[in-house]
Amino acid sequence: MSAVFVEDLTMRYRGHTALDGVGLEFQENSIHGLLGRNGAGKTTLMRILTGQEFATSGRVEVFGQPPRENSAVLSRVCFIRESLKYPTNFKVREALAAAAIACDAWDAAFAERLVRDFALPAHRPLKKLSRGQLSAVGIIIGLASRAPLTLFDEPYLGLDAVARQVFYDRLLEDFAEHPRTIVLSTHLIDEVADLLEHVVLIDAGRVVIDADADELRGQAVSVAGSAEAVSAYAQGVAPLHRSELAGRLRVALPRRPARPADGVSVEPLSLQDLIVFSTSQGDRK
Amino acid sequence: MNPTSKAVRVQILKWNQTFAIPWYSLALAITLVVAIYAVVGGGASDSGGHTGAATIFYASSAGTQLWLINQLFPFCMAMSVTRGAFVRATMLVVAAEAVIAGVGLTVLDRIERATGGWFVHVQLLDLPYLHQENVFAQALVYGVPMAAISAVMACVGAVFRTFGQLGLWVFGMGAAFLAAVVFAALTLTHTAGSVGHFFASQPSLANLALYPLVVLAVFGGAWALLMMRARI
Repeated sequence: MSAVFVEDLTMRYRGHTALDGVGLEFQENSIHGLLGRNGAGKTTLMRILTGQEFATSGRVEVFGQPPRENSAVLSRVCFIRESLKYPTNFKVREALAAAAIACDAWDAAFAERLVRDFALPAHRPLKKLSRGQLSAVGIIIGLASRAPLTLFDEPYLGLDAVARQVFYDRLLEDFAEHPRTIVLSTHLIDEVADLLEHVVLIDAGRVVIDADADELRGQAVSVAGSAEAVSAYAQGVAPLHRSELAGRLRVALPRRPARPADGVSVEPLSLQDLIVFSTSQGDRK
Repeated sequence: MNPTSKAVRVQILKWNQTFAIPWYSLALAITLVVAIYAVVGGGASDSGGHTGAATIFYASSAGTQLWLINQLFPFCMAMSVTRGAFVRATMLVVAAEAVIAGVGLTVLDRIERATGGWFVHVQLLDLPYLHQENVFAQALVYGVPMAAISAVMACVGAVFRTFGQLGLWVFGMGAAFLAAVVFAALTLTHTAGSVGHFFASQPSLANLALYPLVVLAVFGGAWALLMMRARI
Protein backbone atom coordinates (compact mmCIF):
# COMPACT_ATOMS: atom_id res chain seq x y z
CA MET A 1 0.00 0.00 0.00
CA SER A 2 1.15 3.55 -0.68
CA ALA A 3 1.98 5.85 2.19
CA VAL A 4 2.14 8.70 -0.30
CA PHE A 5 0.41 9.05 -3.64
CA VAL A 6 0.92 12.15 -5.77
CA GLU A 7 -0.55 12.73 -9.21
CA ASP A 8 -0.01 15.65 -11.57
CA LEU A 9 1.03 17.93 -8.70
CA THR A 10 1.85 21.50 -9.64
CA MET A 11 2.94 24.30 -7.37
CA ARG A 12 3.48 27.84 -8.60
CA TYR A 13 4.71 30.83 -6.63
CA ARG A 14 4.31 34.22 -8.22
CA GLY A 15 5.25 33.08 -11.71
CA HIS A 16 7.81 30.49 -10.59
CA THR A 17 6.90 26.84 -11.06
CA ALA A 18 8.35 24.89 -8.13
CA LEU A 19 6.65 21.59 -9.06
CA ASP A 20 5.44 20.78 -12.53
CA GLY A 21 3.09 17.83 -12.95
CA VAL A 22 4.83 15.65 -10.37
CA GLY A 23 3.58 12.11 -9.96
CA LEU A 24 5.06 9.55 -7.56
CA GLU A 25 4.31 6.94 -4.95
CA PHE A 26 6.09 6.08 -1.72
CA GLN A 27 5.29 2.56 -0.62
CA GLU A 28 4.75 1.93 3.08
CA ASN A 29 7.53 0.58 5.32
CA SER A 30 10.37 1.50 3.05
CA ILE A 31 13.22 4.05 3.01
CA HIS A 32 12.90 6.44 0.10
CA GLY A 33 15.48 8.90 -1.15
CA LEU A 34 14.13 12.20 -2.45
CA LEU A 35 17.07 13.63 -4.31
CA GLY A 36 17.81 16.63 -6.45
CA ARG A 37 19.70 19.88 -6.67
CA ASN A 38 19.01 22.94 -4.55
CA GLY A 39 15.75 24.52 -5.63
CA ALA A 40 14.63 21.40 -7.49
CA GLY A 41 11.34 21.28 -5.54
CA LYS A 42 12.07 18.62 -2.88
CA THR A 43 11.26 20.76 0.14
CA THR A 44 8.15 22.16 -1.53
CA LEU A 45 6.93 18.63 -2.19
CA MET A 46 7.53 17.62 1.43
CA ARG A 47 5.80 20.76 2.71
CA ILE A 48 2.75 19.91 0.61
CA LEU A 49 2.79 16.29 1.83
CA THR A 50 2.74 17.55 5.42
CA GLY A 51 0.04 20.18 4.91
CA GLN A 52 2.41 23.08 5.44
CA GLU A 53 2.04 24.36 1.89
CA PHE A 54 -0.94 24.44 -0.45
CA ALA A 55 -0.63 22.94 -3.92
CA THR A 56 -1.76 24.91 -6.96
CA SER A 57 -3.27 21.80 -8.56
CA GLY A 58 -3.02 18.02 -8.57
CA ARG A 59 -3.85 15.16 -6.26
CA VAL A 60 -2.01 14.44 -3.03
CA GLU A 61 -2.85 11.58 -0.71
CA VAL A 62 -1.06 10.50 2.45
CA PHE A 63 -2.28 7.19 3.85
CA GLY A 64 -5.14 7.43 1.37
CA GLN A 65 -6.38 10.88 2.38
CA PRO A 66 -5.58 14.51 1.54
CA PRO A 67 -3.17 15.76 4.23
CA ARG A 68 -4.24 19.39 4.37
CA GLU A 69 -5.71 20.17 7.81
CA ASN A 70 -6.36 16.47 8.26
CA SER A 71 -5.54 15.48 11.85
CA ALA A 72 -6.14 11.80 11.14
CA VAL A 73 -3.33 11.89 8.58
CA LEU A 74 -0.99 14.45 10.12
CA SER A 75 -0.97 12.72 13.50
CA ARG A 76 0.91 9.95 11.69
CA VAL A 77 3.46 12.27 10.10
CA CYS A 78 6.64 13.93 11.33
CA PHE A 79 8.61 16.36 9.16
CA ILE A 80 12.12 17.35 10.22
CA ARG A 81 13.81 19.89 8.06
CA GLU A 82 17.08 21.72 8.18
CA SER A 83 15.43 25.12 8.53
CA LEU A 84 13.04 24.01 11.28
CA LYS A 85 12.49 26.86 13.72
CA TYR A 86 12.51 25.83 17.35
CA PRO A 87 11.18 27.98 20.19
CA THR A 88 14.46 29.58 21.18
CA ASN A 89 13.72 29.65 24.89
CA PHE A 90 13.01 25.92 24.98
CA LYS A 91 15.65 23.68 26.45
CA VAL A 92 16.51 20.44 24.67
CA ARG A 93 14.45 18.50 27.19
CA GLU A 94 11.45 20.79 26.67
CA ALA A 95 11.62 20.40 22.90
CA LEU A 96 11.58 16.64 23.36
CA ALA A 97 8.71 16.93 25.86
CA ALA A 98 6.72 18.94 23.30
CA ALA A 99 7.42 16.33 20.65
CA ALA A 100 6.35 13.60 23.07
CA ILE A 101 3.00 15.35 23.51
CA ALA A 102 2.47 15.84 19.78
CA CYS A 103 3.65 12.45 18.51
CA ASP A 104 1.36 9.51 19.28
CA ALA A 105 4.04 6.83 18.95
CA TRP A 106 6.81 8.68 20.82
CA ASP A 107 9.42 6.42 22.41
CA ALA A 108 10.87 8.27 25.40
CA ALA A 109 13.49 5.62 26.17
CA PHE A 110 14.75 5.71 22.59
CA ALA A 111 14.87 9.52 22.73
CA GLU A 112 16.97 9.34 25.93
CA ARG A 113 19.35 6.91 24.29
CA LEU A 114 19.72 9.18 21.26
CA VAL A 115 20.40 12.19 23.50
CA ARG A 116 23.29 10.21 24.97
CA ASP A 117 24.45 8.97 21.56
CA PHE A 118 24.63 12.50 20.21
CA ALA A 119 26.09 13.80 23.50
CA LEU A 120 23.45 16.51 23.66
CA PRO A 121 23.25 18.74 26.75
CA ALA A 122 19.61 18.09 27.66
CA HIS A 123 19.23 21.09 29.95
CA ARG A 124 20.78 23.64 27.62
CA PRO A 125 18.50 26.17 25.88
CA LEU A 126 18.17 25.52 22.15
CA LYS A 127 19.45 29.01 21.35
CA LYS A 128 22.78 28.08 22.94
CA LEU A 129 23.27 24.96 20.78
CA SER A 130 25.62 24.75 17.82
CA ARG A 131 24.19 24.17 14.34
CA GLY A 132 25.14 20.50 14.51
CA GLN A 133 23.58 20.03 17.94
CA LEU A 134 20.38 21.65 16.69
CA SER A 135 20.36 19.20 13.80
CA ALA A 136 20.78 16.37 16.32
CA VAL A 137 17.67 17.59 18.16
CA GLY A 138 15.71 17.33 14.91
CA ILE A 139 17.07 13.86 14.21
CA ILE A 140 16.16 12.67 17.70
CA ILE A 141 12.63 14.01 17.33
CA GLY A 142 12.28 12.44 13.88
CA LEU A 143 13.51 9.02 14.98
CA ALA A 144 11.85 8.87 18.40
CA SER A 145 8.52 10.04 16.99
CA ARG A 146 8.23 6.64 15.28
CA ALA A 147 5.77 8.41 12.98
CA PRO A 148 4.43 6.03 10.29
CA LEU A 149 5.60 8.64 7.76
CA THR A 150 8.78 10.45 8.75
CA LEU A 151 10.34 12.98 6.41
CA PHE A 152 13.89 14.23 6.87
CA ASP A 153 14.89 17.20 4.73
CA GLU A 154 18.66 17.71 4.91
CA PRO A 155 18.48 16.84 8.61
CA TYR A 156 22.18 16.88 9.37
CA LEU A 157 23.46 20.31 8.54
CA GLY A 158 26.52 20.94 10.67
CA LEU A 159 26.75 17.37 11.96
CA ASP A 160 30.20 15.82 11.82
CA ALA A 161 30.86 12.51 10.06
CA VAL A 162 30.72 10.52 13.31
CA ALA A 163 27.35 11.95 14.28
CA ARG A 164 26.01 11.32 10.77
CA GLN A 165 27.08 7.71 11.03
CA VAL A 166 25.28 7.48 14.40
CA PHE A 167 22.16 8.75 12.63
CA TYR A 168 22.44 6.16 9.84
CA ASP A 169 23.08 3.34 12.31
CA ARG A 170 20.20 4.23 14.63
CA LEU A 171 17.88 4.77 11.69
CA LEU A 172 18.61 1.33 10.28
CA GLU A 173 18.44 -0.41 13.68
CA ASP A 174 15.15 1.19 14.57
CA PHE A 175 13.72 0.73 11.10
CA ALA A 176 14.43 -2.99 11.34
CA GLU A 177 12.50 -3.22 14.62
CA HIS A 178 9.80 -0.70 13.78
CA PRO A 179 9.31 -0.56 10.01
CA ARG A 180 7.78 2.67 8.79
CA THR A 181 7.96 4.96 5.79
CA ILE A 182 11.02 7.18 5.80
CA VAL A 183 11.64 9.85 3.19
CA LEU A 184 15.17 11.17 3.24
CA SER A 185 16.20 14.20 1.24
CA THR A 186 19.91 14.84 1.15
CA HIS A 187 22.84 15.97 -0.95
CA LEU A 188 25.15 13.42 0.70
CA ILE A 189 24.05 10.72 -1.71
CA ASP A 190 27.05 8.45 -1.37
CA GLU A 191 26.58 8.31 2.41
CA VAL A 192 22.95 7.25 2.22
CA ALA A 193 23.10 5.18 -0.97
CA ASP A 194 23.10 1.88 0.90
CA LEU A 195 20.16 2.89 3.07
CA LEU A 196 17.80 3.70 0.24
CA GLU A 197 15.36 1.21 -1.15
CA HIS A 198 13.69 3.57 -3.58
CA VAL A 199 14.92 6.74 -5.25
CA VAL A 200 13.04 9.68 -6.67
CA LEU A 201 15.09 12.34 -8.41
CA ILE A 202 13.48 15.71 -8.93
CA ASP A 203 14.99 18.25 -11.26
CA ALA A 204 13.53 21.66 -12.04
CA GLY A 205 10.21 20.64 -10.51
CA ARG A 206 9.83 17.39 -12.47
CA VAL A 207 10.44 13.76 -11.59
CA VAL A 208 13.44 12.56 -13.60
CA ILE A 209 14.02 9.19 -11.94
CA ASP A 210 11.56 7.08 -9.96
CA ALA A 211 12.97 3.59 -9.44
CA ASP A 212 14.12 0.97 -6.96
CA ALA A 213 17.61 1.74 -5.71
CA ASP A 214 18.86 -1.79 -6.47
CA GLU A 215 17.52 -1.56 -10.00
CA LEU A 216 19.34 1.73 -10.51
CA ARG A 217 22.58 0.39 -9.09
CA GLY A 218 22.44 -2.66 -11.31
CA GLN A 219 21.58 -0.87 -14.52
CA ALA A 220 23.72 2.21 -14.86
CA VAL A 221 27.38 1.65 -15.74
CA SER A 222 30.54 3.60 -16.31
CA VAL A 223 32.48 2.49 -19.41
CA ALA A 224 36.11 3.45 -20.05
CA GLY A 225 38.59 2.63 -22.75
CA SER A 226 39.82 3.83 -26.10
CA ALA A 227 37.42 6.17 -27.83
CA GLU A 228 36.79 3.67 -30.63
CA ALA A 229 36.15 0.71 -28.32
CA VAL A 230 33.88 2.66 -25.98
CA SER A 231 31.92 4.17 -28.89
CA ALA A 232 31.45 0.73 -30.41
CA TYR A 233 30.32 -0.78 -27.10
CA ALA A 234 27.96 2.08 -26.25
CA GLN A 235 26.41 2.32 -29.68
CA GLY A 236 22.64 2.74 -29.47
CA VAL A 237 22.61 3.80 -25.81
CA ALA A 238 22.42 7.54 -25.17
CA PRO A 239 25.13 8.40 -22.61
CA LEU A 240 24.28 10.33 -19.48
CA HIS A 241 27.75 11.82 -19.38
CA ARG A 242 30.85 11.76 -21.53
CA SER A 243 34.44 12.81 -20.86
CA GLU A 244 37.48 12.32 -23.05
CA LEU A 245 41.13 12.75 -22.18
CA ALA A 246 44.18 11.85 -24.27
CA GLY A 247 42.30 9.45 -26.50
CA ARG A 248 40.64 7.67 -23.60
CA LEU A 249 36.90 7.99 -23.38
CA ARG A 250 34.70 7.49 -20.33
CA VAL A 251 30.92 7.44 -20.63
CA ALA A 252 28.12 6.90 -18.13
CA LEU A 253 25.32 4.78 -19.56
CA PRO A 254 21.83 4.40 -18.06
CA ARG A 255 21.89 0.66 -18.85
CA ARG A 256 24.42 -1.98 -19.77
CA PRO A 257 24.46 -2.61 -23.56
CA ALA A 258 23.61 -6.18 -24.61
CA ARG A 259 26.91 -6.91 -26.30
CA PRO A 260 30.36 -8.19 -25.23
CA ALA A 261 32.55 -5.63 -23.52
CA ASP A 262 35.61 -6.00 -25.75
CA GLY A 263 38.53 -3.71 -24.91
CA VAL A 264 36.62 -1.63 -22.40
CA SER A 265 36.23 -1.68 -18.64
CA VAL A 266 32.68 -1.64 -17.32
CA GLU A 267 31.90 -0.71 -13.73
CA PRO A 268 28.67 -0.04 -11.89
CA LEU A 269 27.89 3.66 -11.72
CA SER A 270 27.54 5.03 -8.21
CA LEU A 271 24.17 6.39 -7.22
CA GLN A 272 25.73 9.81 -6.71
CA ASP A 273 27.22 9.84 -10.21
CA LEU A 274 23.93 8.64 -11.67
CA ILE A 275 22.07 11.46 -9.91
CA VAL A 276 24.65 14.06 -10.92
CA PHE A 277 24.66 12.96 -14.55
CA SER A 278 20.88 12.69 -14.71
CA THR A 279 20.38 16.21 -13.43
CA SER A 280 20.62 19.27 -15.62
CA GLN A 281 23.92 20.96 -14.84
CA GLY A 282 23.47 24.66 -15.37
CA ASP A 283 21.91 24.25 -18.78
CA ARG A 284 18.38 25.02 -17.70
CA LYS A 285 16.48 27.36 -19.91
CA MET B 1 -5.67 12.72 23.09
CA ASN B 2 -7.37 14.94 20.51
CA PRO B 3 -5.32 17.37 18.39
CA THR B 4 -6.57 20.48 20.21
CA SER B 5 -5.61 19.02 23.61
CA LYS B 6 -2.16 18.23 22.28
CA ALA B 7 -1.73 21.78 21.00
CA VAL B 8 -2.91 23.20 24.34
CA ARG B 9 -0.44 21.04 26.24
CA VAL B 10 2.42 22.14 23.98
CA GLN B 11 1.42 25.79 24.40
CA ILE B 12 1.40 25.59 28.19
CA LEU B 13 4.49 23.42 28.43
CA LYS B 14 6.43 26.63 29.05
CA TRP B 15 3.71 27.88 31.41
CA ASN B 16 5.74 30.70 32.84
CA GLN B 17 6.15 32.10 29.31
CA THR B 18 2.47 31.66 28.51
CA PHE B 19 0.84 32.70 31.78
CA ALA B 20 3.21 33.89 34.48
CA ILE B 21 5.14 36.85 33.04
CA PRO B 22 2.35 39.43 33.67
CA TRP B 23 2.05 38.16 37.23
CA TYR B 24 5.79 38.47 37.82
CA SER B 25 5.57 42.03 36.49
CA LEU B 26 2.59 42.87 38.68
CA ALA B 27 4.25 41.42 41.77
CA LEU B 28 7.29 43.54 41.05
CA ALA B 29 5.13 46.64 40.49
CA ILE B 30 3.22 46.14 43.74
CA THR B 31 6.42 45.54 45.68
CA LEU B 32 8.12 48.64 44.29
CA VAL B 33 5.11 50.92 44.70
CA VAL B 34 4.41 49.74 48.25
CA ALA B 35 8.08 50.16 49.15
CA ILE B 36 8.17 53.68 47.70
CA TYR B 37 4.94 54.71 49.45
CA ALA B 38 6.12 53.19 52.70
CA VAL B 39 9.35 55.16 52.53
CA VAL B 40 8.13 58.52 51.24
CA GLY B 41 4.64 58.37 52.72
CA GLY B 42 3.02 59.33 49.44
CA GLY B 43 -0.32 57.90 50.46
CA ALA B 44 -0.56 59.87 53.66
CA SER B 45 -3.36 62.14 52.35
CA ASP B 46 -6.92 61.29 53.32
CA SER B 47 -7.79 59.94 49.90
CA GLY B 48 -4.55 57.95 49.63
CA GLY B 49 -2.47 57.69 46.44
CA HIS B 50 -3.28 56.28 43.03
CA THR B 51 -0.87 54.77 40.55
CA GLY B 52 -1.23 53.23 37.14
CA ALA B 53 1.64 50.82 37.77
CA ALA B 54 -0.68 47.86 37.27
CA THR B 55 -0.79 48.59 33.51
CA ILE B 56 2.53 46.74 33.42
CA PHE B 57 0.42 43.62 33.85
CA TYR B 58 -1.23 44.16 30.47
CA ALA B 59 1.87 45.53 28.77
CA SER B 60 3.96 42.52 29.70
CA SER B 61 1.35 40.09 28.36
CA ALA B 62 1.70 41.54 24.87
CA GLY B 63 4.71 39.44 23.86
CA THR B 64 3.13 36.06 24.57
CA GLN B 65 1.12 35.84 21.37
CA LEU B 66 4.06 36.94 19.22
CA TRP B 67 6.09 34.11 20.76
CA LEU B 68 3.30 31.60 20.22
CA ILE B 69 2.82 32.49 16.57
CA ASN B 70 6.35 33.04 15.42
CA GLN B 71 8.13 30.34 17.40
CA LEU B 72 5.73 27.75 18.71
CA PHE B 73 3.42 27.61 15.68
CA PRO B 74 6.12 26.52 13.16
CA PHE B 75 7.42 23.98 15.65
CA CYS B 76 3.93 22.57 16.25
CA MET B 77 3.32 22.30 12.52
CA ALA B 78 6.54 20.32 12.11
CA MET B 79 5.11 17.98 14.75
CA SER B 80 2.06 17.80 12.45
CA VAL B 81 -0.37 19.76 14.59
CA THR B 82 -2.95 21.23 12.19
CA ARG B 83 -3.56 24.95 11.88
CA GLY B 84 -7.11 24.42 13.11
CA ALA B 85 -5.93 22.60 16.24
CA PHE B 86 -3.38 25.32 16.98
CA VAL B 87 -6.00 28.06 16.53
CA ARG B 88 -8.52 26.31 18.79
CA ALA B 89 -5.80 25.67 21.38
CA THR B 90 -4.76 29.32 21.33
CA MET B 91 -8.37 30.40 21.83
CA LEU B 92 -8.60 28.16 24.87
CA VAL B 93 -5.29 29.42 26.25
CA VAL B 94 -6.30 33.07 25.75
CA ALA B 95 -9.66 32.39 27.41
CA ALA B 96 -7.89 30.75 30.35
CA GLU B 97 -5.44 33.64 30.51
CA ALA B 98 -8.35 36.13 30.62
CA VAL B 99 -10.21 34.16 33.29
CA ILE B 100 -7.07 33.88 35.42
CA ALA B 101 -6.42 37.61 34.96
CA GLY B 102 -10.01 38.50 35.84
CA VAL B 103 -10.22 36.31 38.90
CA GLY B 104 -6.67 36.93 40.07
CA LEU B 105 -6.80 40.71 39.75
CA THR B 106 -10.22 40.79 41.42
CA VAL B 107 -8.84 38.85 44.36
CA LEU B 108 -5.90 41.27 44.58
CA ASP B 109 -8.31 44.18 44.25
CA ARG B 110 -10.28 42.93 47.24
CA ILE B 111 -7.06 42.43 49.19
CA GLU B 112 -6.07 45.99 48.32
CA ARG B 113 -9.42 47.26 49.61
CA ALA B 114 -9.30 45.11 52.75
CA THR B 115 -5.79 46.26 53.67
CA GLY B 116 -6.47 49.93 53.12
CA GLY B 117 -4.23 50.06 50.06
CA TRP B 118 -1.56 47.52 50.97
CA PHE B 119 -1.23 49.14 54.43
CA VAL B 120 0.31 52.28 52.88
CA HIS B 121 -2.82 53.88 51.38
CA VAL B 122 -1.94 53.29 47.75
CA GLN B 123 -4.32 52.08 45.07
CA LEU B 124 -2.93 50.13 42.14
CA LEU B 125 -5.99 48.09 41.21
CA ASP B 126 -8.99 49.70 42.84
CA LEU B 127 -8.73 52.83 40.69
CA PRO B 128 -11.81 55.01 40.51
CA TYR B 129 -12.76 54.25 36.91
CA LEU B 130 -12.12 50.52 37.30
CA HIS B 131 -14.06 50.17 40.53
CA GLN B 132 -17.02 47.78 40.40
CA GLU B 133 -19.08 46.69 43.37
CA ASN B 134 -20.13 43.45 41.72
CA VAL B 135 -17.37 40.86 41.81
CA PHE B 136 -18.31 39.38 38.43
CA ALA B 137 -18.32 42.83 36.79
CA GLN B 138 -14.95 43.55 38.38
CA ALA B 139 -13.52 40.32 36.93
CA LEU B 140 -14.85 41.29 33.48
CA VAL B 141 -13.25 44.73 33.70
CA TYR B 142 -9.89 43.13 34.46
CA GLY B 143 -10.15 40.04 32.25
CA VAL B 144 -11.70 41.13 28.96
CA PRO B 145 -9.02 43.75 28.14
CA MET B 146 -6.43 41.01 28.66
CA ALA B 147 -8.10 38.88 25.99
CA ALA B 148 -8.48 41.91 23.69
CA ILE B 149 -4.77 42.74 23.97
CA SER B 150 -3.94 39.10 23.22
CA ALA B 151 -6.19 39.19 20.12
CA VAL B 152 -4.57 42.37 18.79
CA MET B 153 -1.06 41.02 19.32
CA ALA B 154 -2.00 37.65 17.85
CA CYS B 155 -3.35 39.42 14.79
CA VAL B 156 -0.10 41.39 14.43
CA GLY B 157 1.84 38.15 14.73
CA ALA B 158 -0.33 36.42 12.15
CA VAL B 159 0.10 39.31 9.69
CA PHE B 160 3.86 38.94 10.06
CA ARG B 161 3.63 35.14 9.75
CA THR B 162 1.51 35.33 6.60
CA PHE B 163 2.78 38.43 4.78
CA GLY B 164 6.24 38.98 6.30
CA GLN B 165 7.83 42.27 7.22
CA LEU B 166 6.33 44.15 4.27
CA GLY B 167 2.87 42.95 5.25
CA LEU B 168 3.42 44.11 8.81
CA TRP B 169 4.54 47.51 7.54
CA VAL B 170 1.47 47.80 5.30
CA PHE B 171 -0.73 46.73 8.23
CA GLY B 172 0.85 49.36 10.51
CA MET B 173 0.66 52.10 7.92
CA GLY B 174 -2.90 51.13 7.04
CA ALA B 175 -3.94 51.29 10.68
CA ALA B 176 -2.24 54.68 11.09
CA PHE B 177 -3.86 55.96 7.89
CA LEU B 178 -7.29 54.76 9.01
CA ALA B 179 -6.84 56.42 12.40
CA ALA B 180 -5.79 59.66 10.69
CA VAL B 181 -8.82 59.56 8.37
CA VAL B 182 -11.20 58.97 11.27
CA PHE B 183 -9.57 61.76 13.28
CA ALA B 184 -9.72 64.15 10.31
CA ALA B 185 -13.36 63.29 9.64
CA LEU B 186 -14.29 63.86 13.28
CA THR B 187 -12.41 67.15 13.35
CA LEU B 188 -13.86 68.44 10.08
CA THR B 189 -17.39 67.52 11.07
CA HIS B 190 -16.90 68.89 14.58
CA THR B 191 -18.06 65.60 16.05
CA ALA B 192 -14.93 64.69 18.01
CA GLY B 193 -16.49 66.14 21.16
CA SER B 194 -19.63 64.07 20.65
CA VAL B 195 -17.64 60.88 20.30
CA GLY B 196 -15.68 61.73 23.44
CA HIS B 197 -18.89 62.54 25.24
CA PHE B 198 -20.43 59.27 24.10
CA PHE B 199 -17.65 57.19 25.64
CA ALA B 200 -17.50 59.38 28.74
CA SER B 201 -21.22 58.85 29.28
CA GLN B 202 -20.96 55.09 28.99
CA PRO B 203 -20.78 52.98 32.14
CA SER B 204 -17.21 51.90 32.84
CA LEU B 205 -18.28 48.29 32.42
CA ALA B 206 -19.17 49.01 28.78
CA ASN B 207 -15.92 50.85 28.07
CA LEU B 208 -13.72 48.30 29.82
CA ALA B 209 -15.50 45.05 28.99
CA LEU B 210 -18.08 45.41 26.22
CA TYR B 211 -16.04 47.43 23.71
CA PRO B 212 -12.88 45.41 24.34
CA LEU B 213 -15.06 42.40 23.57
CA VAL B 214 -15.77 43.93 20.14
CA VAL B 215 -12.03 44.46 19.64
CA LEU B 216 -11.48 40.85 20.67
CA ALA B 217 -14.03 39.62 18.12
CA VAL B 218 -12.67 41.72 15.23
CA PHE B 219 -8.97 41.06 15.74
CA GLY B 220 -9.52 37.49 16.91
CA GLY B 221 -11.54 36.74 13.78
CA ALA B 222 -8.90 38.28 11.53
CA TRP B 223 -6.18 36.33 13.34
CA ALA B 224 -8.02 33.01 12.93
CA LEU B 225 -8.55 33.63 9.19
CA LEU B 226 -4.89 34.50 8.68
CA MET B 227 -3.65 31.52 10.66
CA MET B 228 -5.69 29.10 8.58
CA ARG B 229 -3.77 30.18 5.47
CA ALA B 230 -0.37 30.69 7.10
CA ARG B 231 2.51 28.94 5.38
CA ILE B 232 5.49 27.57 7.24
